[in-house]
Amino acid sequence: MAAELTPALLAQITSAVLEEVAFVFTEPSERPSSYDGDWVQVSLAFSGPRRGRMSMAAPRVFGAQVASTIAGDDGAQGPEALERGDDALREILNIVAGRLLGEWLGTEAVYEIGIPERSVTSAAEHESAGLRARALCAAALVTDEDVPIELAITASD
Amino acid sequence: MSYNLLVVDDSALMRQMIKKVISMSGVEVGTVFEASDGLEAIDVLGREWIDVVFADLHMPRMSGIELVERMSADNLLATTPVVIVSSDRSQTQMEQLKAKGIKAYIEKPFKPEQFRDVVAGVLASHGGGAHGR
Repeated sequence: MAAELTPALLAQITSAVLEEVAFVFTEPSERPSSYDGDWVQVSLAFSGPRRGRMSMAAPRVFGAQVASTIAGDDGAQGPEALERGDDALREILNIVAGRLLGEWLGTEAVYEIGIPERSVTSAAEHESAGLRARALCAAALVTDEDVPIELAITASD
Repeated sequence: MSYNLLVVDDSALMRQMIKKVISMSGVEVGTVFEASDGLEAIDVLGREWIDVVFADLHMPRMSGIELVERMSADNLLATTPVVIVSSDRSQTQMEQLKAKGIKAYIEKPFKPEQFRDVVAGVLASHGGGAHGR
């Protein structure tokens, strides 16, 4: 049974995955994201009954924190920590995509999920890119430590 | 009896997480080998005895599906059980994968007991074990 794609569904699934995988607690946010450091945007293509891209953006240091939690260690340091953090956010997006597409398109549908890609941007670049501006569906979350997370789905059909 | 396992995932962090979960699952493990895609997995399978392969679906160069197809076509590897570890929830796709020969499917995110139950089931039906080799 397919569900309607709504910002609430996107936020709910992402929130659940972050909690289950990384013990990060979030809630939906209406505020514009404000973070001055580097952002990482991870995105993947999907195809099947619907085609498009799913993207998630967050402060790059947040990814490193998530990676440390997943790995259960004190974390890597420096550039290695940031790379590992990007890897963690790619996996989080992958899990969100699997769960969301199952809900949205239904588990009877056959769909393909592409390999997540990432790009690192400054705060200004992130703001001007407007991840959520042209989205079919978009949502924003904030963690209990006030870290902003943005999500967007764009359709290509 | 201990078992040699092969974890195939393009994410180093996910491989680390799977190894950790396996170590918590109570399965008697010999060596856990790693590969970052299907091609690397084929290389490991060519030189090591592997009792169970845990493979992601979406990987560069050679996907999990292509790995299963390649193993199924190889007389020496066709009987090595493959467990897919993925975030995909398409039941139709899982049925197609089972038809291609995968033994089980574990959905991400996963818990240690899921690995324990799946590995126990797969090994019970397959036998094997690296102990004493």
